[in-house]
Amino acid sequence: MTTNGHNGMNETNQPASGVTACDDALDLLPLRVAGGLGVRDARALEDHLSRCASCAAEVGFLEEVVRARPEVPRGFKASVLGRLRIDESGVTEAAPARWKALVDGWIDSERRVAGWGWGLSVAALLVLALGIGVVWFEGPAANGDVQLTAALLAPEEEMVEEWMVAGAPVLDGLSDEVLLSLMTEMD
Amino acid sequence: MTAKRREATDPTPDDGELVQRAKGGDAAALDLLLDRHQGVVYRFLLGLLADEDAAADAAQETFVRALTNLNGFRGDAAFRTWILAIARNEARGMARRRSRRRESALDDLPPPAAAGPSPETRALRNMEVQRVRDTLARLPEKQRMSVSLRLFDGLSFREIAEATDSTEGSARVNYHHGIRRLREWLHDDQRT
Repeated sequence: MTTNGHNGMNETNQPASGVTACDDALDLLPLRVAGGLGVRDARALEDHLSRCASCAAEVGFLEEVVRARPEVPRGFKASVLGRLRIDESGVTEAAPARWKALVDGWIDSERRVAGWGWGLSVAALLVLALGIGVVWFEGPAANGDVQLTAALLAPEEEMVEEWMVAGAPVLDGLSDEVLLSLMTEMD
Repeated sequence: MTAKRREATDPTPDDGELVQRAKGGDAAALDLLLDRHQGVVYRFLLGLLADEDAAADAAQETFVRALTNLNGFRGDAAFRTWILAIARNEARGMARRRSRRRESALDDLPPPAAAGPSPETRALRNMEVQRVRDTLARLPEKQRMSVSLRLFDGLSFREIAEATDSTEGSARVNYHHGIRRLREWLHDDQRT
């Protein structure tokens, strides 16, 4: 590579000795300037720079360019964290107390699961109400289908208060004791 | 070495570890990821969009997108490669939107009276930093991106190739051509 006017030779026109030649040095110099050089490469490069004036001059040029490095606008991180809803409770950008977005995401997913749970419960209650309706109109054990429905619904039925259907009280046919208990609860 | 022991002894955990910790809700890991990559993402977008405000907006969007979809990062590539790919998509989308807006605006508005740098920019141009930035901005995009990513952020040529959708060899050639031109142009500027 001849980017700074030399051709892989050092100033004495001899091939660069040691681990690093000029081509390698020119590849590594930006990493040295950017601060991303490993220990072994850094040592080899410093060794080369101590013997090669052209490459040493290149360091000066690259450092001049790096001084023009554009920096992130002030407040950038706070804006990002604000978008993630981290700092809404006054938490400083330097040390957010928690990653609220993750928590929010977790809560959202929990809500979704809970939503499914509620949906299934409501669906079960509707099926139960339908089943009771069928039993009510068909009479006890009128046919095998109703018996089957009743058998399938039996476990769910145990979980439902006897005066509630689909979350609403059914007052018809309730005993006085149950009505009294219901009114007490409503008070 | 266990993760716990490494955490205790290594003050600079790698990105993979930070991502895992951030996924688990560790705010400090999130903070460090942001600190570590905000510069390269911003400069990458500045190189693509050539507009500071647009680059800042796109960078913000990139981080919000990346961090809220952190579970989508499987670790097949480096985190920096992953977030720069998101940034590139963001820049493409923004460029498309700007282009559409410009087209519709051109239908409604008269053309600007005079194209040229603002008074502020003209004042800054006297400064050395601005002179280098302006010269860098004149480079063709691939060369500008290679120089910026290599020199400002220390990316390897392989990483530059991934970020700019080119080959490692092209990234290397673009970098060296870019640096050579930059030197020549800066030198010419000084003489005139």
